[in-house]
Amino acid sequence: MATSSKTLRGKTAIVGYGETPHVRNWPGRTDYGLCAEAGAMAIQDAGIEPTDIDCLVTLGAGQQPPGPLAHYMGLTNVKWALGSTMAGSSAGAAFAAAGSLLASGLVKYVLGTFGGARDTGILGEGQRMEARTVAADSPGTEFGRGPYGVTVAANDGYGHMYTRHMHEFGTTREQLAKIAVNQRFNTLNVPRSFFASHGPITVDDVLGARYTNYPITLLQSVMPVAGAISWVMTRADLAKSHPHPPVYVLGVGVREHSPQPDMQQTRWVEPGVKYTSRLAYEMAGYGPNDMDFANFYD
Amino acid sequence: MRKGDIGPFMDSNDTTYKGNHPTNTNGGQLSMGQLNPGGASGCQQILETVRQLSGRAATDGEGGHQVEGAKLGIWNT
Repeated sequence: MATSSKTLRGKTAIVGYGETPHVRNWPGRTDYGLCAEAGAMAIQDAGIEPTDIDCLVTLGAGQQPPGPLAHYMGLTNVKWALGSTMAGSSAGAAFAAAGSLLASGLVKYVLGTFGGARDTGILGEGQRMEARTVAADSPGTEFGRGPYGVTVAANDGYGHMYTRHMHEFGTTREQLAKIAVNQRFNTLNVPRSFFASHGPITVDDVLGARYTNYPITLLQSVMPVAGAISWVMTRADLAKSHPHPPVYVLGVGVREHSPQPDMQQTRWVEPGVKYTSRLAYEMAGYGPNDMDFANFYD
Repeated sequence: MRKGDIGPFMDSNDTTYKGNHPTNTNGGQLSMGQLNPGGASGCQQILETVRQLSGRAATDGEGGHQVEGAKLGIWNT
């Protein structure tokens, strides 16, 4: 069957969302509980009932299995309980899968809900040890970064890419520090943001912070937090009957790329977005210069 | 923009939500923090894009963080 590059263009829209605050740890809370809380917010925001949800998408088995979560949330009409397991790309893959199910007519309302509680009381020392072991054994470590002295640490591997970029292109630490400075500015009015209350930062602040992985400093490193985020997606023909303006999905692109940056057979890191953005732009009929803004995985 | 040009790009462009190249308009994971890296980590980019395109970033928090006139946006996870 021939497929069109315009397959999903304009066929679906996001009509509601929910988001908890982002906090360092959330003792006493569970992944299920936070996902349910954000999910309930999204359903309410969309102006629909829990019984309208006929597809639930989560991080899947081993994280937040969608079947049990649907049961936990009291979503009694779920036909599809779908797990999205593409690591850091799971959220995007879930989004595209939801759009495909809606566009095919199999479902009407998809709830996506994702998060984590980081309850340090529940995550005991044994599990933390296990997590470290798994990370140390993760593919790529031994033949990629390993010989260069990097095993498991914050931003492992990224420091190498950073210094390579500085060497090859003359990029300076000051230039890249501006990314963190501008992002901190952007967050100052965002109520759920962890660092909103920490005030603005300067290039000197970034360069003067302690290294997490040379030349990357603490202020250029993402900090794990607890919280959850949900959205409701529906078909375009149903999208206008909700309290808030629908946001239509014009293009998507998904690609399994490589488990670790250093497993790519290229001298330079080529993030998967290089490929997926082309697919999304082609489907949408727009290009990079048409975009009013961009929100990248940082 | 050519490969490797991020340095000069950052020198001559403003990536704040008020600037000429608004990027990570809610502060990204650097500011929000990173949710469950098993995959929840990509969600805030999606939600922030929806907030911008529905105009709801204007009333999100005191003063908001709306990109003026935002009609088209892109995210990745």
